[in-house]
Amino acid sequence: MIRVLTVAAYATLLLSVLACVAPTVLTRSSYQQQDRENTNAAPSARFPLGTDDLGRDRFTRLVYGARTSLLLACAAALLSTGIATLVGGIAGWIGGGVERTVLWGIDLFISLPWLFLLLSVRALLPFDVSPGSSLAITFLLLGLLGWASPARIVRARVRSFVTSDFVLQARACGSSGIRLFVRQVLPNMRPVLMAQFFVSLPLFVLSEANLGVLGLGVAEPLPSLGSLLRELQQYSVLNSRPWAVLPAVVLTCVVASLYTLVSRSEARQ
Amino acid sequence: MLVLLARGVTRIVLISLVAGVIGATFVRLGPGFGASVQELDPRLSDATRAEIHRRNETGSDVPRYYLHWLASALHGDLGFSPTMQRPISELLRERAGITVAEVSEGAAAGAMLGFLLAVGLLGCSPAAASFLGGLGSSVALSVPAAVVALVCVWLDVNPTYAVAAAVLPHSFQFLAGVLRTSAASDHVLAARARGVGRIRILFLHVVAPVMGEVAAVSGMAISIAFGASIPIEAVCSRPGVGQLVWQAALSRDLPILVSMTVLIAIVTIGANTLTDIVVARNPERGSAR
Repeated sequence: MIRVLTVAAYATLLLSVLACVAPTVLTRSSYQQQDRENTNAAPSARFPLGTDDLGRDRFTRLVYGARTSLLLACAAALLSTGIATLVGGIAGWIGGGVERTVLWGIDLFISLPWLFLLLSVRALLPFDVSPGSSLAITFLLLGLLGWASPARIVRARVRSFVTSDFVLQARACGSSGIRLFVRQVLPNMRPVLMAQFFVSLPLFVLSEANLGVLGLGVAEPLPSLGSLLRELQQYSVLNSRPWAVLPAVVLTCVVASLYTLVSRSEARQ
Repeated sequence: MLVLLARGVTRIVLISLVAGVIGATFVRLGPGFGASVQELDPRLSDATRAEIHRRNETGSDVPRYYLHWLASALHGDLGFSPTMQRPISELLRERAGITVAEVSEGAAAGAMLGFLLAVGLLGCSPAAASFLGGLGSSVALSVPAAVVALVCVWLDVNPTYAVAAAVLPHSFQFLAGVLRTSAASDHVLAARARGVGRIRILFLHVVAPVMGEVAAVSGMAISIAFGASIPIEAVCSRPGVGQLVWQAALSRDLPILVSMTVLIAIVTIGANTLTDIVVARNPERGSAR
């Protein structure tokens, strides 16, 4: 059964990667092309998931929305893991007062609910920005605010390396300082950093979705899984156009697949 | 115990103070500071827009503003909201009841349900427990709080259920791990070998030794429930503190944002400190965790 679940997770993510890499394989239409003759149309051969109130193809917007959300989450996870490596690495490597100060800062970040932090900082930035800028803002927000938890793990790992045999041997051979950290410690950190990257991915996809529903995510006409969910706030939609709920289903499937693969990987280790 | 408590209180005070300073500084340095929806009105002249912008920029001297805020806060005055035109303490008094009830009931229900599910999974075979637990928690963790809130609105049920749904997968994951470790320990094996009944083993030998951690879930649950209450109250139009935060964020209300940053830091760090103290009283299990 677990194998079936893992295969299903891989299949879902494969489709998502396809949507990211080559969305034109899945759909030929443009996500912003409006067909005023066919607004709020039901699913048909031409529009597999119907159209929205502006006559835009829902399926195309879903494919491009998944692409936006996943690429955004990957980029943000990369940024936050990079910052965590830098901050946690320095704290663990130097130790003493620097480590205590960094831990204190991490405590501060972790103490505030993640969504509150995101909302507060996002609200400080201009709202009337171009779709590209809103994408960059969301990516930077997630990346710059999501480093605290991974940094704590990175610090603990680096700390365990400080007294390890291979570092002692490298020191005995004359290696020290940044060179020792970069050449000996960092390569051994790869499994931890990879794990942190993959753990961050579902969290960032969900955060983008929450921001999108609240109207602070990626701006129109660029679609994202979060911004596609905004339509569901018109509660009559579910009764008249139940297929509009599909972005929520896709979001849940993608994030559940990510969680499943992360937990399988943890169980294997 | 007293040392832990003193350390916890010091931590709460220091982190809350710094959180307030950082909150105020971020708000001030944000490119959107001083901007207002009013400025988008096409009928206004440039001079009027500049005047509105200038008025909205009150509190731009962050250190001065923050020190003044701290001095007033010590006397119970959290300042005045420029966008809502009301004292913040009054707004909080009005809304806190709704959020406290929602968060405490949701956190308790989510944690309790998580505990019951984790105990229930102990009765399954390891493969079935791994499958059911993994699938259930993955799916539950994958639904954004805002979507759970939308479902609550559609089904016309109390948003407290949405808060409980946000807490449930986290508490379940944590407790399932703790109970699984406890169930695999030597003393449980010894009890089984002596022919002790299943129910007795479950409650006396598996659950009882980890009651500290079960209680510690409350700290985690409160923090998660509070975070989830923001989108849930915003989507469900509940006039609670979460909705206030949402409205303050949208209207860039500096006094509310600073007050809420400090208050939320106090609540969440307080809950986490409580968790630390409970776990520290049970050091063996704490280290296992």
